[in-house]
Amino acid sequence: MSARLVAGLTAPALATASPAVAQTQAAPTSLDEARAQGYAGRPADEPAGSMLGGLLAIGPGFFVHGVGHYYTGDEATALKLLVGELLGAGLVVAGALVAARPEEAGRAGPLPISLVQSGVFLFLGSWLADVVGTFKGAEPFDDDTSRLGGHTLGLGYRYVGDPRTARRHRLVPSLTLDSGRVFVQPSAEIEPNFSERRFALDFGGRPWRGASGRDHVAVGARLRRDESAAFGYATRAAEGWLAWKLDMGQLIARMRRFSITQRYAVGIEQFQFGASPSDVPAPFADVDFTSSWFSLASGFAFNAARRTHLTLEFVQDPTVAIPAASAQSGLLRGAFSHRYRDDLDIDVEILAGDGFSVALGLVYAL
Amino acid sequence: MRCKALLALAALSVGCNRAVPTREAAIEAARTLELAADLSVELDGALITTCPDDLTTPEGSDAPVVCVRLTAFDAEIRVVDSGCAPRAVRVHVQNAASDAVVGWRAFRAGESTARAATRACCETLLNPNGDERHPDWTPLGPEVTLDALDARSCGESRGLCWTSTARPGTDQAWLTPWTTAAPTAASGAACVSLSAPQAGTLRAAPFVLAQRVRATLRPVATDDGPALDFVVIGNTGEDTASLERLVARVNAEDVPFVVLSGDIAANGSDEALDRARRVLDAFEVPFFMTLGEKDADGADPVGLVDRFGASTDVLLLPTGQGWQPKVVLLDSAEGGLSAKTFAALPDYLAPGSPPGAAIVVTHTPPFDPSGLRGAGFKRRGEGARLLAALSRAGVAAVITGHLNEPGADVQSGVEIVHGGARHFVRVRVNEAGRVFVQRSD
Repeated sequence: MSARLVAGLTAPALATASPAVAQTQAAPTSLDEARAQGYAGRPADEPAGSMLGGLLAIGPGFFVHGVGHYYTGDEATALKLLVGELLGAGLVVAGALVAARPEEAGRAGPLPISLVQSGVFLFLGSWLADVVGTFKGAEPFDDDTSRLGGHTLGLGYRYVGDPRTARRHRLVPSLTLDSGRVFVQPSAEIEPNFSERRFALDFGGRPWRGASGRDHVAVGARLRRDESAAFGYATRAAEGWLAWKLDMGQLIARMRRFSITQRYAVGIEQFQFGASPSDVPAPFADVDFTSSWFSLASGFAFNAARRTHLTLEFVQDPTVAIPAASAQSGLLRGAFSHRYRDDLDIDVEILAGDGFSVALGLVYAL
Repeated sequence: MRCKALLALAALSVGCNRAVPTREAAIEAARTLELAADLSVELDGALITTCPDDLTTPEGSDAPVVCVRLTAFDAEIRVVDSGCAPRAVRVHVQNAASDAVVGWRAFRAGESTARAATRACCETLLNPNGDERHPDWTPLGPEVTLDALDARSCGESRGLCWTSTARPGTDQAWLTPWTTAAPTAASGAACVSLSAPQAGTLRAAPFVLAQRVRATLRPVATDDGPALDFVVIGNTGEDTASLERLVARVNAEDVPFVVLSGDIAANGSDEALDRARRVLDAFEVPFFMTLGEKDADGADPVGLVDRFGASTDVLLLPTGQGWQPKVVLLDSAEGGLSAKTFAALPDYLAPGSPPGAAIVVTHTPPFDPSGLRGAGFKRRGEGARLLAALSRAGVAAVITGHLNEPGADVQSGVEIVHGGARHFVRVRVNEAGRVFVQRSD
């Protein structure tokens, strides 16, 4: 925990003391002296963190969300978290019931996935909010330093730890042209001897942005071309997606600058198969097979340090570099973006599923 | 450990999801058995398995018992003896066709220099007694069949049983009924151990008693020419009663074997798998099985192989008429194929000799026909890789389970039949390589 938080646990913060005054006056030796110098105590609506409250939130709080906040006197938030838990559990049950109905199996694919993932996300989110909020108290997270807008050039490398392929290395260049409202992002992922390559073009807009500039709703599309000279096939795909990011502080005061994110996508993909494993069909060759898919990613985003933005997501997407952990599961994605300089970010992404992938990148602001 | 799909726990359980490679290791390990330092059993087309509870061995016998489960219609059980004293091994065979032929032949697993040179020069003309399976071994006599049914009887237990006895010291071997007394060291000729320099390389080579169990499937006459029929069932899950009905229905059909497409147990616990296996014991014909995600969920890989055999395999269907279709089982219980299976796919799907159509049975379809549901392979690139291979190989049909809804579609020229819940799919393949698939309730 930061020094400020530790101090907050042991003594009220000097919320209104002026540094200038502190330099010219002797430090108060009693509470009366401090009040005389202008100390007003911790605001009632900004409680300190609580170690015991946090432990309660971890243990019994996993079953009854909000116990930690209730212990620290924030009953309103405790109730919100309990409602979140019940709502999340309800969504999971609903999703499981929908998925279990055999007559719905052919027509309810995205629905149970969305219900279950959103439900688990809401359940875990309300529990995490209770734990983190109780431990941390009212102190907000660091400012969100993720880039939203501006033009950048990215150069990256990905290692794919998948025993099903001997082709483990990828170069990942990308270009982002982003006005803040609309954006275009061409990118590629290419195996060094060119036997596997992916080309993508993302474009879209943000019809809504919050006051902070970080909260947003974005809609977009992705066009993608995959070619495999290792296994003799190519695909061309079109995907439409909707994504949103919301600061939880708007719902739970102690979770300011801790955001929740979600991305829904539906795509259609045309497959072209070559006559031999080394034969890659041309982009406009005949299509052998067409299939569609649905993907969903839910996660959290916050600044783990002053200049380091962290995103943790659970991803159910059958088009990413490695397969899910199991047929009924998904992947965990962790991404760090460190603002090394104002014009340079260092990005790290880790994907864990049935295998793993690690991507390292540099993003230059243009 | 059960690897249930709960968000972060499932995604973090990367290490948990090594079931397929471990199952493959279990299959490979079940192809050999070391009975003593100089006595072992090697298998082709069969796997070592647990002996049935009702199998009784002759009293006072200390001959080791080897139980095997056939995974092919032409299997070989080789007892490899590098010793000298007379020894017996009792062999119990499960999953054999009722009209299987049992034969045996003894070898020295080596050949003299002169024989090797002769073989290199003029294989057929000057080496007429050579064995097509082991051309570089020296046969010690012609193949002998064990014809009498009572000579292969296991008593009260099902299957085929016999006692294989070898006397390497005198190059003698034979198969006799299960209850034959095992030889003692004094019951044979004096055992003289000869070192290689004195006896030559051949004399010091291991003594091999190769026991072969073969069945020929008899095609039926149809309007489209001679054809073979078989049945594919699966996707019963915890519904044991449905599995029992399907087994009874298979027994009522006139088919030589049955293939299971997986998900015939509620989960991978020992109780559920044992329950399913007890139902399958009622089959009156051989069965071959690939696995579904329920069967594999938390299951011990060795136990799965022991109960159900090889989940990835190529089952050749010998007709004896110059054509030989095959059934390729692909283990997709984890929502995809393993690295080893992908690497071996070209060999699995390669045209055979004699020629014949290929039918693939796998639990998870490469692509869900209802795409948005996402019940196909968990990574679309792997589905594309498999479909590309199937399409190039000209696979006649793919039969899958997993989905509750039955259906059929053609993906890149490959007919994909989705059996649906509790499916009973009859497959007919004819001499011309055409495949007819009919699903019924």
